[in-house]
Amino acid sequence: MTWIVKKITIQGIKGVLNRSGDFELSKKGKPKSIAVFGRNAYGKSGYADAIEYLFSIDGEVEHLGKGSADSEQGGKHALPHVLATEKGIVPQVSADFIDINTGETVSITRLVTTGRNDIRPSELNVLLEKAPAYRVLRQHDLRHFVVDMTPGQKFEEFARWIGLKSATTVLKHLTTVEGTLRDTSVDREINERIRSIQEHTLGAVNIFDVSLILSWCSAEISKQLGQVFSLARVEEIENAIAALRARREALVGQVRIAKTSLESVASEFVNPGGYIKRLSENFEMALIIEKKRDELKGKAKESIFQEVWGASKSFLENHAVENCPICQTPWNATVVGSQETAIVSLHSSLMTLSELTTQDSELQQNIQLIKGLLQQFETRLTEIASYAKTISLPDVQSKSDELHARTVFYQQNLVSIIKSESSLISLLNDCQELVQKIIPSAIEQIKTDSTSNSTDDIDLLISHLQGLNESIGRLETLTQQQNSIRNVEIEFGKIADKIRSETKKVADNAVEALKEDVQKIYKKIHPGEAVPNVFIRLNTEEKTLSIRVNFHSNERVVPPGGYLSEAQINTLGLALFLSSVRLFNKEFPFIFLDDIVSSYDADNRARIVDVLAEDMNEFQIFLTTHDERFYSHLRGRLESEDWTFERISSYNFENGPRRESDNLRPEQINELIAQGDEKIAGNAVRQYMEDWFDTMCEKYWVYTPHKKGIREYKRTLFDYWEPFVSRLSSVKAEFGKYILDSNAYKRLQGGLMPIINYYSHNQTNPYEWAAMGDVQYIWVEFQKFADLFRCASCKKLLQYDFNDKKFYCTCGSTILPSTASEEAKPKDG
Amino acid sequence: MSELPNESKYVSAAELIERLFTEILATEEFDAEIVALTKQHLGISSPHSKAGANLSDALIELANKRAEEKK
Repeated sequence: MTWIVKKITIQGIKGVLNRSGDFELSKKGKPKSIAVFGRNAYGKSGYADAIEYLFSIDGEVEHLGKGSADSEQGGKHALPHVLATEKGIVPQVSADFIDINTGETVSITRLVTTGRNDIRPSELNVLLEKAPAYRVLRQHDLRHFVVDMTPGQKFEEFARWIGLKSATTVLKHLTTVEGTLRDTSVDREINERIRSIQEHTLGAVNIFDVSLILSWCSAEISKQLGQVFSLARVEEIENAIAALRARREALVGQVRIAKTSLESVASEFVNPGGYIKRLSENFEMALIIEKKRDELKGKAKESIFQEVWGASKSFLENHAVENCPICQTPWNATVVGSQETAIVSLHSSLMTLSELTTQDSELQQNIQLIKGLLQQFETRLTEIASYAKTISLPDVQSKSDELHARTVFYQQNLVSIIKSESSLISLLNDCQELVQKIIPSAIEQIKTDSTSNSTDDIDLLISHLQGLNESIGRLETLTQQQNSIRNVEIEFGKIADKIRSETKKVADNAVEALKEDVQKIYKKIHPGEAVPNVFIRLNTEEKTLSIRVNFHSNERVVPPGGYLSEAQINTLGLALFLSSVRLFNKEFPFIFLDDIVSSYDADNRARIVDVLAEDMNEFQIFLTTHDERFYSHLRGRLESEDWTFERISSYNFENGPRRESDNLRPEQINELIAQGDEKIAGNAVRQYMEDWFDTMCEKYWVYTPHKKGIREYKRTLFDYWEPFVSRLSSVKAEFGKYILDSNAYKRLQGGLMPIINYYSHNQTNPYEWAAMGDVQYIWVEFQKFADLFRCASCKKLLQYDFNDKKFYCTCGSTILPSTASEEAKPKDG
Repeated sequence: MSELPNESKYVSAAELIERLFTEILATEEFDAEIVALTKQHLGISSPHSKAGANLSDALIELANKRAEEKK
C-alpha cells in the first residue's frame, strides 16, 4: 500500500484567500513533487500551516502555539484569513489521496475550527497510522528534535513513529496481568486450612502431609474404638467416622443401662425393706442386745461359780445343812440367812447366767446378719461406683468409694462399733444421702444422647475427622488451583518476556536503522567533515530517548547542543527528520519542507539537493523556499523528474500569492545576470538552453540519446546538441546550411557549449565554474541561435515536416532572411 | 535512486504485534490457550483500558478450569 497526495486545495487559510490554493500533485496516477520559490512574506508558510493543520490530530499547528491569553502566539485563531468571514469564504483545506497500488481513494475536507473540539477526520487515520512520523518540517524545527525536546518528549515522538505507544500500552497491560497473577494466590486459604489441620490434630500435624494426618487419625480412632484401625486413604475417613458413630451408639446404650442399674441399685438401699432400713433395724437390735447383755453380764458377774452354784443347788435341794457347805458359815450368819433362801438365790443366779448365754447367742446372730448386710452394702456401693464411672458421675463415684471404704471398715470392726452405738448410723445416713440426693441429682443432669466422657471424646474425634476430611479435600483443590495458577503465571511470563524482548528488539532495530540512516544523510550533507558518531539511546523502561555524538574523540560523548555548529545541529535535525520518514512513512511518503536551508551555505544546499534527489526520490515532496540558489540547484537537478517548479511572483493581501509556473523567461535570466551571481545565472542559462533543446528536439523529431526516467537529471546539453545538429544536417533545402553557417552556431559549436555545461548538475568539478562574462556571452549567442528557428517573415517558430524533411512556417512566407546580414538578432540584450 | 532502509531489519510495532501472535508466539514453546487469550485482549490495535484486568480474570478462570479438569 502506497498512498500519494493527488490534490490539495487550500482556501481562507493564512495568506491564501480563494486563489492560488490549488495544487495538482499527480499526473497519470503518478505522484508529483512541487517546489515553490517565493520571497519572504509571500505566503509560502501559509501552505505549510494549512497542510500541518490538515494532518494534525487535534487541529494544532505547533508553531502557532495554543494562543492562550498570556501567549505571544496566535494559536489556531491565526489560521483563518482575516478577510475570510467578510468575503464569505469558509477556511478549509481539502485533499484527495490515492493508493497507487489499489486505486483506492480518500477525499478529505477539514474545515478550520478554532474551538477545542477539533478532531482529525477519521478517514485520514488509515493513512497516517501507517506513516506515523511527523511529515512537515520547517527551518525552526531542524534543531527542535535534536536540542530543544526533552528526552521524554523525544521518546514520545519516537514511540509515535514506530507505534511504540501501542506497544508500551501492551507492555503496561502485561505488567498488570503479571502483578494480578502473582497476587492471585490461594495461600491465605491454604494457610487457614493448615491451621485448621493443626487444630483438628491437636497440634500434632502442622503441615499439609496426608500420610501424617492419616497416621494421627488412625492412632486416635484406634484409641476410641479400642482396637487397631488403620487409615490408608483419605476416603476411608468416612468409614472411620461410621465406626466411631457405632461405637458411640454402643456407649450410649451402656450409659442407659448403667443409669437404669444405678437407679435400681440405689432403690435397693431405700426401699421399705432396703439395706439401710434393715441395717438400721439390725444395728438397733444389736445395740439393744448388747445393752441387755451388759446388764446380764453385770448380774452374772459371779457367773464363774455357775458350776459351783449348780452343784450347790443340787446338793442343798437334796440335803438340809446348817452351815453353808462352801464356807461353813451358819446360815443365819450368811447374807441369805437360810438354806431355802440360798437355794432360791442360786436358782435365780443360774437363770441369769442362762439368759446371758442366750443374749450372747442372739448378739452373735445379729452381728452376722449385720455383717451380711454390710457385705451386700459394700457390693452395691461397688456397683454404684462402677455405674457412676460408666456414665461419668464423679461425685457419685467418689462418694460411693468413700462409703465403700467405710463399710469395709465397719465390717472389720463391727463388734467394737456396735459398742460405740453411733458410727453405723452415720454411715447409713451418708448412704441415704447418696441414694436419695446425690444419685438422683446426678442422674437428672445426665443427657440422653451425650452422657459420658467417652461419647464426648468420640464426638470430638468425629468432629476433628470431619474437619480434617474437609480441609484435606479443600487443600487438595486449593493446591491444584495454586499449581494451576502458578503454571499459568509461568506460561504467561514466558509470553510476556517474549513480547518484551521482541518489542525491545523492534525498538532497538528501529533506533539502529535510524542511526545508520541519519549518519548516512549527515555524511552526504557534510562530506568533508569527520562525521560524528551519533548515539541514539532508547530507554523503554524510563521512556526516554537521548541523542549524543562523539566530539573529536571516540571517548568524548556529548549532547549535540553546545558542541556542534548550528549548521551541524540543523543537519542532524534534517537527517533525523528525513530518516524518520524514510523509515516510518513508507506507506504514505509525503513530506512538506518549509524553507529548510536558510542556515546553510551554498555547498551544503547543493548537497541537500542531492539528498532530496537521491535519497528522497521515492517521496512526494512539497517544498517551499525563499532561497534562489537552493531553488535553482533543485530545479537544475530535478526539473526533468516528476517535479513541478513554481514561483510566487508577488503577494497581495486580498488576492494572496501569485503563483507562476517556473519556465524561465529571457527577462528573468537577464535579471539574474544583472544580479551578478555567475553560478545562479549560469545555471539558469543552462536550464533555459536545455528546456529549449528539449522542446525543439521533440518538435523537430530529433532522437536524443538520454532516456526519460529516474536518471534523467544526468542529461547534458550534449545529449541534445549533437542529435539536433545531426537533424539540421539532414534537412532538405538550404535551411540546414543556413543554420550551420551561422556565427551563433559556430560559436556555440566552437567552445561555448562545453563552458556552459559547467553549470550542469552533472558537473563533477565544483571549481570549474565559468565567469559571468562567459555566461553573458553564451546567453547572447544562444539567443541569436534560437532566433534562427523563427520565421524571417513573421517571427513565429518554424515547423518541421518529417516526411518532406523540411522546415516551414505556417504563415507560408519564406522562412529565411533575404541576406545573411539579416540574421536574427536577439530581442533583448 | 537510494534504497529505503532495510525493511527486514525494521518492523513497526503494529507489524510486530501481528507477527507475535501469528508467528512468534504460535509455536509449541508457548501455551496456545494463554497465547489465544493474550491475543484476544492485547493483540488488537487499540486494547481496552482494562485489557490487563480482563486478561487477568480470563487467565485465572483458565487456571481454575484446568485445576478442575485435573481432579
